[in-house]
Amino acid sequence: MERLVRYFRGYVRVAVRGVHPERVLNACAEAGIPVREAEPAEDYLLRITVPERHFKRVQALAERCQCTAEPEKRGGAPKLLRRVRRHRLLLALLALCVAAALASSLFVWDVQVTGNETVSTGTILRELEAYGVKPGSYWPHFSNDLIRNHMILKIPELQWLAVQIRGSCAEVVVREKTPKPEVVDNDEPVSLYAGASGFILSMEVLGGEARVAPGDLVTEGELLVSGAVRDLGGGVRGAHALGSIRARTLYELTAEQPLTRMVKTQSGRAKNRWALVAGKKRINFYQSSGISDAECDKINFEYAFSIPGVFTLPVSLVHEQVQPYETQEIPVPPEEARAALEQALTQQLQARIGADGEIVSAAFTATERDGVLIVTLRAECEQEIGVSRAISPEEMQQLQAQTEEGTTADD
Amino acid sequence: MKRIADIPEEIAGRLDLPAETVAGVPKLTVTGRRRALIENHRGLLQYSRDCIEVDGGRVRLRIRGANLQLVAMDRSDLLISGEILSTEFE
Repeated sequence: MERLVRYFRGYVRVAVRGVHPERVLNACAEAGIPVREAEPAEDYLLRITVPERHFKRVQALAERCQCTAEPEKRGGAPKLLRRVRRHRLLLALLALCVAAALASSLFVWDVQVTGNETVSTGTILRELEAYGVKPGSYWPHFSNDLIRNHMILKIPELQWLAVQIRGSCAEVVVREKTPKPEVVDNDEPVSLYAGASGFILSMEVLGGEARVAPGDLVTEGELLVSGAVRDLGGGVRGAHALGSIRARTLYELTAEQPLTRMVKTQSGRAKNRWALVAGKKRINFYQSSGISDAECDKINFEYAFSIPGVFTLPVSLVHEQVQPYETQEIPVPPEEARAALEQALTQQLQARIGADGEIVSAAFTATERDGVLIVTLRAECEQEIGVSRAISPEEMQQLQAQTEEGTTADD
Repeated sequence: MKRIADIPEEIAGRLDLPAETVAGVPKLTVTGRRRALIENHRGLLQYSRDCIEVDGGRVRLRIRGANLQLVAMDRSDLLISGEILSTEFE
């Protein structure tokens, strides 16, 4: 703390030379001049630190003690200020920068949206811009409640919204409405049909009339449980067929991949171009923006003038790197290609049999034809095959006719 | 035999008063072996890396040690740092 005070007041390191330099210390103490870090350097030399404003008096006291006091080093804030005062332009620029940074922190220069899943960021940003929340707007005028009300009215998918200001960045946090779960209408006439061909292993029918039985072979689209039910009066009424029908199914899936692939190799030197983006305006520091005929990769680096979390200026420096490349065909190891295809086929099969499906056995075969690897998956699975479908009036009539004929599984 | 100059210190001792304020005698506070504070001094008599001699009025204080340094000094107080080996009174 004392060092800090000394720094702000300014200090001088003084070399006191004489026969009795300690007398200068006594004289300083007597005169009320605080002396710090006194250090005997040689027999007739003593170094002391005194406040800058007392230096002239120290010199006078040293003379009275038949010694000399020479300044060796000056330091502290007063010296720094004197040095800076000489560069007025620099000082003015610094002050201007500080003022610009302070003023810019009252404006929004960047709007970020988080928390959205189904509503696109662009939609939210457009509506916010229409309401006045956009780069360059004065954020102390923002009202979270008003923005929220406006946005929820304009975008009904939103449930809640809040605008948080961090430096010059407006972070818009949104929460979307949870979609209503699908309500199963038990009064709607629905039948269960086979989603895949297979051999029925088990059936648990909770609604409707079963038209097949365990041990039957069914083809895709075949009626499994009918929604047309015969009532006690002999008539036929529509019911909501419900049940679990598990069947053994067979699949044969094929995938192919060429045994070569194209890779990029850099050719020639990369071109570097610079541009300055201020708000929505872009100033290019290059003349022609056309890319040569060669195939090129264009990589953009954007450096924003900002201190994250403190302030952001609406200015950024853009560095464009244009790297020409050539494509080259290289062979792919067959084992690598086969492993990739097998993985893809397994994923495809899992998607077909659903989460509750089970692969009982699977076998892969691979053949190579004209530089293309063909992999075939033959698998035996156990899965739920019942797919419910609403019964149309025409279908109802047809089912009624079938029911009246008495073609139920029980028969 | 007591001197007249010693009377104020004697009175301060009998009345249980702080002698450094009543009688103006120096007060030496040594912290560990590396720091010594002398209050009510009357000036430096000798100053070197291994010995600092301080005028305390009726008493003369001599601090011996190694790498002794006068950290701060003002009208009444004096702060010494370094490796203190001994203090002597004369």
